Amino acid sequence: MINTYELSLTYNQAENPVDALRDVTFDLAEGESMSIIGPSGCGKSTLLFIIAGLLQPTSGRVVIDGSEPEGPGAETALILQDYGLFPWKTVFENACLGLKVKGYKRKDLQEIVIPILQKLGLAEFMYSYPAQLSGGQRQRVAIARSLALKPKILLMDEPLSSLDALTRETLQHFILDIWREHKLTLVLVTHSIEEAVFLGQKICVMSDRPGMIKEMIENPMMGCPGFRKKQQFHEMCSRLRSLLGVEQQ
Amino acid sequence: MKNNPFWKKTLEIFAATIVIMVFWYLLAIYVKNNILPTPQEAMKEFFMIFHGTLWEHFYISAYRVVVSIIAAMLLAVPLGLLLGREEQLDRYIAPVVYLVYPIPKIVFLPVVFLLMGLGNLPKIFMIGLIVFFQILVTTRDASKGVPVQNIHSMTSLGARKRQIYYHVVWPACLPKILTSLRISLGTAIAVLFFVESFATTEGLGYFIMDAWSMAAYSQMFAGIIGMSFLGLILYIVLDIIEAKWCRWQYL
Repeated sequence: MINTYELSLTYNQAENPVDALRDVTFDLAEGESMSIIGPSGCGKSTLLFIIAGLLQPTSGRVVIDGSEPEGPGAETALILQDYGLFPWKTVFENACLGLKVKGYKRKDLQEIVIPILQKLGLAEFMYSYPAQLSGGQRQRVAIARSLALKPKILLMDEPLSSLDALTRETLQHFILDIWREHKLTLVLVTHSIEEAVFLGQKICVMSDRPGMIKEMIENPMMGCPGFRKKQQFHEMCSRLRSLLGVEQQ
Repeated sequence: MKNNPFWKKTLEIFAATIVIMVFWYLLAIYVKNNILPTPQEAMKEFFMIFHGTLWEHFYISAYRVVVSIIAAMLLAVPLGLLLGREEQLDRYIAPVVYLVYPIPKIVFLPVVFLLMGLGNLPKIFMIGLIVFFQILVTTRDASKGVPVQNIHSMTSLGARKRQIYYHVVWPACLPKILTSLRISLGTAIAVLFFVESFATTEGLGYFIMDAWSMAAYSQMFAGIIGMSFLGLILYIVLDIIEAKWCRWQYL
């Protein structure tokens, strides 16, 4: 469970402090998913980094499962857009990294990571380097690394934005399956309206700088079979579009 | 498959040697002076004296260069990696580095000889000192250039500082460190020649200067060939290390 109370963050750049976030308050129940969408530079990544424990808010607080985390928590996994994988490590080494950092032994690493790689269809690429994989495969390795840590909370910062449209949709379904299967609490930052609607039970629409919650939309149809083709899906997308101020003809 | 690049490289080096020899030969015919023997004469001399006298000089020079580069590297690489990431530390040390780096350290040779005697130590120290700064500056800049997202991704996995250095900063900088070593190698051998031309009776630098003073020009060129071999062998060693440790760079 994630609760935030009036989170604000001001970046102290010389002489002109930048208000990145102001009074962000929301609650996310365990196993719920939320997508965060807003104009670029509205502080949505900042918000995610605060939840991940990588940044400290200037004021306000984050409570995860009843306590305030100090630094990156063991139950939280973060997936970044491009830089999550290290090009000098093989797929297996990359997937192991989180466990290795926590001091697991080599034998345990194999026992935990190999089944996950197999499940994600990456077993045959174990000894390949990220440069030898497609964008979709790479992002699956990043997901494998997070899953190896058995997190309760999965945070994703525009995880699919560098992928082509087809791979992107496939991976959206893939993330949906993983969210369900592992009963994760999911927070997804995206700038794709369709992705926000497809993957968020709640959709947090943020305003331009300073980032504030413009509207929190409940999206109860999320995850029902064939949602993408349904009338409600398109209605939700249109609603988001007008909220975000995208002109429509 | 595995031997393929090795043979290709050998062939390339061989072909390049031939090209250089041809130019050398043409120049030697054109100059028509004892001071520039033809490549045949020099090679003949080289193989004739290598086992007798040249080998020992070659060995001592190789020792001096290798020890000084390794010592400089062991100090400069960790310091450079730290300076690139720890702003507090960098703020104090960077000005010192900027001030000292452009000074031609070779001018301190007399002082170094005076303080450290005439053995191997002052020579190794001098080469090491000069090369240290080249490696330090390159490593520091490489370390500074590691994307902050890489660090974030590591921190979010709960990594401690030491682990970030081990898993991210060091491997990310390694290719540039090897480049700096390659550049340093050229510098090291040039400095080697200089420090060996004073107050010593050992080393290729001494051998070349000694042959020169005796007007034994084929012998002098045998020494020059020896020095080229020294550089070439060390270059190849660096290449092998790079192929092994930075395989991901060549995919």
